[in-house]
Amino acid sequence: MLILFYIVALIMTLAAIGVVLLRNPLHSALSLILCMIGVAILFAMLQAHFLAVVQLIVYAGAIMVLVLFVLMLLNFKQENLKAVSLPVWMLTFFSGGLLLYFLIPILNKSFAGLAQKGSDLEAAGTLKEGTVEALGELLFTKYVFTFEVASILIMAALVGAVMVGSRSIHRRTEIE
Amino acid sequence: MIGLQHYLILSAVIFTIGALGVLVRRNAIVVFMCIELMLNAVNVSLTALAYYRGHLDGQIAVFFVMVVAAAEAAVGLAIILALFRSTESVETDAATELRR
Amino acid sequence: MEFLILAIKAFVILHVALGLSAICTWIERKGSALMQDRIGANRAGAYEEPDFFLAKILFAIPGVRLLVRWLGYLGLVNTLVCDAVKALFKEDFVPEGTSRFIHALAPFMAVFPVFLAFAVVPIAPNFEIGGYLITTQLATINAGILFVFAMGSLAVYGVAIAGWTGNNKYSLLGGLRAAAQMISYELAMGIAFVTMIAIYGTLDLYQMVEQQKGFGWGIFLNPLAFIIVFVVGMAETKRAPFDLPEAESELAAGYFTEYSGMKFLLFWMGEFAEIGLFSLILTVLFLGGWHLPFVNLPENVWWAALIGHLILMGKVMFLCVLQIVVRWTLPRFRFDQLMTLGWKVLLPLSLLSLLVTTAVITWSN
Repeated sequence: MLILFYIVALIMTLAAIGVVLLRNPLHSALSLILCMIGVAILFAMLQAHFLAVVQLIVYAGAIMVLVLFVLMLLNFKQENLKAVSLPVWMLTFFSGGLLLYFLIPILNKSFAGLAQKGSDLEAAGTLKEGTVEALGELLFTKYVFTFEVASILIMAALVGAVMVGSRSIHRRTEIE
Repeated sequence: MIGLQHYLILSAVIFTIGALGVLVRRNAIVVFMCIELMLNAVNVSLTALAYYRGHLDGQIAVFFVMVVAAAEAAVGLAIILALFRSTESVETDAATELRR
Repeated sequence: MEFLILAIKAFVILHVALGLSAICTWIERKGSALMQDRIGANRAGAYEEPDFFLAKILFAIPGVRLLVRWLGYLGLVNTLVCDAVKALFKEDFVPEGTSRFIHALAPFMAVFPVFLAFAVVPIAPNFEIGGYLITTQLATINAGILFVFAMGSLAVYGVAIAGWTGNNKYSLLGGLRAAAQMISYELAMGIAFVTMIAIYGTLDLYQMVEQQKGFGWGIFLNPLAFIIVFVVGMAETKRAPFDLPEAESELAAGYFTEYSGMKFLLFWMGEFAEIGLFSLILTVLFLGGWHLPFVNLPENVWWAALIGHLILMGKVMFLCVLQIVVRWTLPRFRFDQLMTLGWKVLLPLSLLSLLVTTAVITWSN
């Protein structure tokens, strides 16, 4: 399991670097899809079965298809990464390094007590697995209000996307 | 034995890469993809904490983060399309005026 | 030992998938010929003395030559051997101006999710050999049918990227149309799946089959969902009457245009494997899997598993032939008719079916 984690972590990191550094936006999108599949594998390793599949359906299967559609419809040239000057690159790497330098020890130490708890729970058989039944029970009893608000949010986003992206409405407001 | 710190450090690294991507790239869609990368990193860390604490509330939070990310993707890409129509370019440097 | 069983299961299920794909190709060629009142392929066979050393040894065995000749009359040799060899030796053409890597990646992304989705579908009842319980699903994950849905979502990429790397208008248009069609029809399929999940109360495909003993087949419980998933299955595999994206007379073969040789054959194989996959899903969800109404097979015995597997494959073959017959019967939809059907007809129908099903389930408790 540890080897699988390291392989997946390596692929995800390389894919994430690929998203940032590849010049063609389509290659960036494919690299992000690879990273998301890696995230789905990590969810499956963390016994979150439903979330792994929903990650594939929603993120890798719907959101990235939307991004791919927009990329193909707009069909622009590759970005000139050399236009970003060297001091900016150095500043970004320095700030990234600084962020990691502070984040990693904080994350290492502050959750030190929890690091073994999950595997103990799994060994004792009392781990709440992320099965559909367990998540559904929690979703419809404790978080039912958030669930309903999320559905209203999606409807608002649907209406908003059609309003903003539609060409005829754009023309009509232009004439006015 | 995979510990919690493995997942959290991986999440921090990918979050940092995404944040640097938002700062460096000028193509609006690639900036959007780096934002999605950051959201995914946070999802990983939430699920890892849910596993190691023994509750499922972390996974519910991930579920709602995915919902919000989907809504944001739809509206954000519609905005980028409208921007492209009015300025003929998706670079974030090109949208500098309030009226065309 | 567990790993060995898993490896053998993976081998068997992969060969079931490939075999379904190959047999569907053959049925398509000969069946379409019979439906169009012509003979079809019957020329390839063992007529001459071969030059190839291995073939000389093989044909020296009595009866092999006759068998190959009979298979050639049926069109099997032509479809399975000659087409594959021809595709392997064709020139591999990459249009200029696009990335070679993505051009090679697209058939892989179209085919890989289809074969991966075969992992969660049971092909026979469980049986025991030597004390080991062998489950015929390769991966008994909790969210079984959602995994199939996820693989259907991932299959959109191969098509969209194939259309893009053709570097011409026809390919791009065909690819975008195909991707839009696949995404639109996934919604109705998802809601029909949710209906069946509500009826059976489980997401695991093996449990769903186990609940259909006797007369409780899914098609009797919810025929509307069966029709919806059947129509959506034909739309997802881009078969006629939904095959505008790959129509030869309209778009110069659509997103296939710039692919030749083995890559084209990979797309083709993926399409037929997807026909087999949808027939398998339909059988497992709606047609009772390996259960027949008056036949009671004993549990956990290996020969009962074999008979169950043959019953299942019989039903799957029936559905594959039905899909091929529908393909060669109906004319093509226009793209706006296709989108109207997906959004304005199938989606409200599937919502209606979900509403009625959940109402019936709630009131009967």
